[in-house]
Amino acid sequence: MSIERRSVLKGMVLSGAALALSQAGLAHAAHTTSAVSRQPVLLLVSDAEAQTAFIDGVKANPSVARVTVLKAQHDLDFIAAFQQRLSASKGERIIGLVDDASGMLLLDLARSAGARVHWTGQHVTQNGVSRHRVAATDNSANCIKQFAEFAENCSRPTAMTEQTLSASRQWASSLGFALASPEPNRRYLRTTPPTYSSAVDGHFVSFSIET
Amino acid sequence: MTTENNKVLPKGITQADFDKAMDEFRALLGKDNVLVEAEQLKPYEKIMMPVDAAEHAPSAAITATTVEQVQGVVAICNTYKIPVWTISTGRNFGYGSSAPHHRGQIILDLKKMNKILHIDADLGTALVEPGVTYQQLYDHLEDNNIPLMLSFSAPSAIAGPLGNTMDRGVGYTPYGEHFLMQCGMELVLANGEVYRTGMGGVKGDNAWQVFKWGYGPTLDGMFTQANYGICTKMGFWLMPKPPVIKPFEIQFDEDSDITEIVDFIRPLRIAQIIPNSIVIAGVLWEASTAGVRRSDYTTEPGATSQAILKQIQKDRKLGAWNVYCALYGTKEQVEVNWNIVTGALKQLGKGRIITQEEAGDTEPFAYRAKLMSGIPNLREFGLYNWRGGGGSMWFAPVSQAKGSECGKQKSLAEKILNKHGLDYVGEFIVGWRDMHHVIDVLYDRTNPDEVKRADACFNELLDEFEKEGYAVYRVNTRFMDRVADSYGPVKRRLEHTLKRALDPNNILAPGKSGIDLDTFKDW
Repeated sequence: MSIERRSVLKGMVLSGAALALSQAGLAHAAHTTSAVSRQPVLLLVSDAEAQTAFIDGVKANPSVARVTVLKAQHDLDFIAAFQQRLSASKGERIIGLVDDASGMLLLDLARSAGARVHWTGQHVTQNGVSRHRVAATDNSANCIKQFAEFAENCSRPTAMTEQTLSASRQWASSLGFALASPEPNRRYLRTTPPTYSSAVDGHFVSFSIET
Repeated sequence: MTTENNKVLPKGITQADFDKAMDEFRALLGKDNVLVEAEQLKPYEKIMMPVDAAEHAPSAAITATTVEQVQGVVAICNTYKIPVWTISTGRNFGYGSSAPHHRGQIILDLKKMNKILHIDADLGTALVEPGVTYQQLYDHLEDNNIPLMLSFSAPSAIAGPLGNTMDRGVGYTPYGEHFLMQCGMELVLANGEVYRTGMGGVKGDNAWQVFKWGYGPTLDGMFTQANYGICTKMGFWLMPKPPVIKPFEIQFDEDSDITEIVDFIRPLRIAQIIPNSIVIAGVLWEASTAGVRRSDYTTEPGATSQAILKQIQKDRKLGAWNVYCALYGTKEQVEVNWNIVTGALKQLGKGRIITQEEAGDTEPFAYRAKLMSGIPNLREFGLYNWRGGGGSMWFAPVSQAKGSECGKQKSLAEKILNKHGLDYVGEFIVGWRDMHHVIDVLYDRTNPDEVKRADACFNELLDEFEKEGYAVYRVNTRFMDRVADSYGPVKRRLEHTLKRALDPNNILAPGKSGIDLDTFKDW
C-alpha cells in the first residue's frame, strides 16, 4: 500500500477536519445513574440527511466522550485506509450508518481484520415508514430493545437474534443512541435521543465494530 | 478442557467433542486463531441470500498460516468428523459470501496465508497463497516495476486470484477466463497428503507454472468448484503489459439490439481482433455503478417501469446496452484492429463509439476502462445501492455467443424477474464462444414479502431456464444442490463416488456444488 493511500483517511474527514463532538459542550447531556466509562467512538456515515439524525443520537448518549466522524465511501482509497486503521488499532469502537455498498465492504473488512462485530442492521425508509433487519450478539442484545424503545411506533422485538422490525420517524437518532452505548445493558434513565419531525428516507447499513 | 459458550454445533457433534476439537485447534494454531465467540463469528454470518443468517452460522472460525497447519486441521476434523468450510479471502458476496454452506460447519479462513511466493517477469507467471488479494498483487507488480498486468473480477482489490479461479470466476482482460490461465495447484487432501497438479510432483522441477498437463490424468479442474481438497498454492499466467491499451465503449439505444450486438461482436472476439472478455451491460447495471439509486426515480414497489429505464438511459447518457471492449498491443497493432472494428460497426449501421478521450473520468466508463486495463477498483459495489436492503444473488446462466440465444435469455429473465417485482440488472460477458449471462437479483432483505419473492424468483429462473436447456455455471450456497441436479444424475453419482473415495468422512466443505455424502441418496 502506498504512503499516499495510508494518509487518505485524514482527507476523508467531514468538512476537512475531524468533527469532534465533545459531550462536555452538550447542554442536554444528562447524568446517568452512575459513572459510565466514557469512550471515544469513530463514527462512519455516508448520507447527509441520515447522518444528522444518527450523529445527534450518538451525541445524546452520555457515555460517549468524543466522537470522530468520517464520511464513508466505497472507493479504493477509503477502503484501503479503513483496512489500515482496523489493523493498526486495538479496542477502538467504530459505529456507523452508511449506504449498502459501503456497509457491505466495511463489514467484510472487519471480518478479515479479525474485528469483533456486535451489531449489524439493514434499514429502509420509504414514505415515512421504516423497516429494519437487525442482529446483535447476546452481549449487545439490549441494543435492539433500546432501539425499539426509542424509535417511534417501533414493533416490539420478539427475540434478540436477527429479526425484522418496523418503525417510523425517530429511528436514526434512536439507533445512534443505542449503538453509542458501550454497555448496552445499561439504562440511561433520564436521557433520550432527540426527536425529529421528518423521517430519514433511503436505505442504510448500521454496525458496531470493536477492533 | 475449556467449555465453549457456543450455541451452534456441527451437526451430530456433541458439545464435549466440539470442546475437545477446539482445544486441539488451539494447540495447533494458537488461541488467537480459533474464534468461537459470537462477536468474532458474527461477521462470518453476513449473507445476501433470502434466508435467515442463522441457517449459515458457523460454529467456529479458525485461521491457519502454513500448509502443515492445514494438514493438522484436516486431521482434527477427521478425528471428530467436523465439517470444515474453507475460504481464501471470502469475498464471494452474491455467490454466498464467507458463510458456510450449512449451519454448524467450522470455517477455515486462509486469509493469513497471504504470501506472493514467486513472480517470473520473463515468463509472466505467478505462484500465490490463498489469502493474496488482487490489490496486494497489483501493488507488488507496481512497486517492483514488473511489466505484467492482472485480470480480475469486479470486486478486484479485495478479492483474490486463488479463490476466484477455484470458483471459476472471470475477468475483463484477454486473460479473463481465469481457470484457463491457471497453471499448477497445491492441495491438501482429506487424508492429509499434499498433492501438486501438473509438473508439481516432479522432484527438482521448475516447469510447474508453465506446463499445465504434466503426465497422465490432469486433475486440476476436478478440484475447482469442488470439495476434494484444500488449495494452498496456485500458479497462473499474467499478461505482459502492452505498450498501448485502448478501451472503448459502443452504446446501443434499443433493448432489441442485443441480437445484432452479439452477432457483430462474436467474430471479432473469436478472431482476437478484440481479445478481451467483452462486456455487454444493461442500463440498470451501468446506472447503478454510476451512482443512480432506484429511489432517485421512484418509491413505488415492484419492478421499475420501462419508462423509468428509458429516462435513466437519457439522463445518464447510457445505452440500453453498453458494450465495453479494449484493444491491446503496439500502436500499429491497435490501429489496425481499431480500423477493423470501426469498419465492422459501420457495416452494422448502428451503435455509437465512445473513446476514452471522449469519456474522460465519467462513470461507468472510467471503472470499466480500469477493469479492462488491470487496475483494481470497487466501483461495481454501487449495484448494492440500486434497490438497497442487502439482498443479492447472482444468477449466471451460460449460453452460446449467438445473438438469438442472448435475446432469448434476456427476455426470459426479465419476464420472470418483473413478475416477482424485481428488476433485470444484467450483463453478458463474452468468452471466446460462450456468454456468461450474469444477473444480479437484487432485493430488500428488510422486507419479508420481497425476501419470499426473491427466493421464488430465483427458483423460477432456474426452473424456466432449465426447460430451455440452460444452466448456471456458478451459484450461491442456498441453491447449489438444486443446480447440481440440472447437470444430470450420472455426473452427481460420479462426483459422489469421488467424494467417497477421497473424503470418506465427508469433512471437506460438504454441500459445495451439491456434493455431500450425508444428503446424497441417488446412488
